[in-house]
Amino acid sequence: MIEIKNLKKIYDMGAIKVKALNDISINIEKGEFVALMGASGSGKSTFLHQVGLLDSPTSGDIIIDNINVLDLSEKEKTLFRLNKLGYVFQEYAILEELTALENVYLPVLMMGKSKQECIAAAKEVLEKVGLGDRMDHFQKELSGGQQQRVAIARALVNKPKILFADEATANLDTKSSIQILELFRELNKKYGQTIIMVTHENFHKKYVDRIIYLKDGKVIKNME
Amino acid sequence: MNWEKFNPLMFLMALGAGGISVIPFAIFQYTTEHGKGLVTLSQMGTDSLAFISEKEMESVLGIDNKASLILVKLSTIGTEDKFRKDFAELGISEDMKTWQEKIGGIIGTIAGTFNLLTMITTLVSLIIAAVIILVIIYINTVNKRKQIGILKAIGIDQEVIIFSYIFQALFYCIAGIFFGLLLIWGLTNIFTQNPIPFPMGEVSPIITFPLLAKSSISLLLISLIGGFLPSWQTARQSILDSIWG
Repeated sequence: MIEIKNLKKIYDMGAIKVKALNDISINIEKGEFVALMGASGSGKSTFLHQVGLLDSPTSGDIIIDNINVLDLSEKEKTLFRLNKLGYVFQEYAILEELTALENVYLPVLMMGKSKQECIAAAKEVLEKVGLGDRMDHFQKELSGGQQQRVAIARALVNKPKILFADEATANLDTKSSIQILELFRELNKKYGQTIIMVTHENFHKKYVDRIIYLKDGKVIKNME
Repeated sequence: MNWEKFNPLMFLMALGAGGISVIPFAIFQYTTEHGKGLVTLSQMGTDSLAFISEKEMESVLGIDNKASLILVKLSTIGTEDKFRKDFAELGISEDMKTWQEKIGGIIGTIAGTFNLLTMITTLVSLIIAAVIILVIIYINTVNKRKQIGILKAIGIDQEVIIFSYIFQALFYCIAGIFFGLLLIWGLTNIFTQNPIPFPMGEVSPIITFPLLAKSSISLLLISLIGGFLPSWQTARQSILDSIWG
């Protein structure tokens, strides 16, 4: 499903060139739950940003569903992200002026669907993440874990092919982190959702199918 | 006529729109037997004149139905040229002047100064409004830079984000126009009831629809620019720059 070939990302810092990703080639299958691990500066977030079309690599190919996404224009990349990719960041970044339901139906609205369709889709996914009783609550009325669930619901509402999570539990306590990880696991097992997650925590390993370890921009270990 | 109660302004107003007042021109013997009172309109040109009835003047000067000046009161400002043309078509070939031409001189200069002041204050107000809107939207976009980055990341189009800030700027603008109109309405009423005294007469503001429309449209245009520039500047940043700074 995802084919990454010779991916390189080099930051030009004047006299110094930093190789954040150094010739990475890996495949990720549909329905896999993959963790990217490694020390700070190993390149795991950079890798996620390239594959998630949030940044452009220096060279290489990223093929998702037989489309070389690096050939897409900026406008096409925006549409691709909207239709096929979902993101959960460390910062929940839900809009404080909107309720949980409104935050979640925003991406559906962008696809040109009617308000009724948007609300129905948002309600369905909020139920799925366990926030059926918090739909009309604003950000300030939700705990950190609940806000992250809203962000996950927003990421899932357009039924993305791949869900990217960039240290999605870093701002949460252990109990809330486990709830989020169990939710990811459930989404992966029950609905076959492909998930690529960047994490530091060792206890996250038991929730994933595969761990890709990175060091100095290279894959050093690829464990099932 | 009861001279104690004579008020030239009331006298002129009583003529009504389209009425014609015959003002005799002559040097005449004016004695205390004829003068019956003093009136003031706070208008130098009028206050320096002596008013007598037409009948009295004719009896003093021994003339009948003669005048050196005819004043015509119109109901609407701005129709002077049309009436001048109508009079000309009626065969009146005498020298005709609009009130602006007649008063000319210093009053014309003062009117010009007032117009210039209006123009300068309008321009300064528009610049202040533009800067305020620009600063408000700039602060909003800078404070929400991370949020803008994440919205772009989840596939929200850059144009939609920019439009939302333009919409915000237009909201401030429309609210400003509304409160501005209320303020103008209030001030115009106050100054119409209590005109500002000037040597040449009392002055009160006249607010015309074209002036309001021009100012409102200018404010709308600068709000569009004030909303667009900062939001475009923030939204065009790369997603990662927006999110991580």
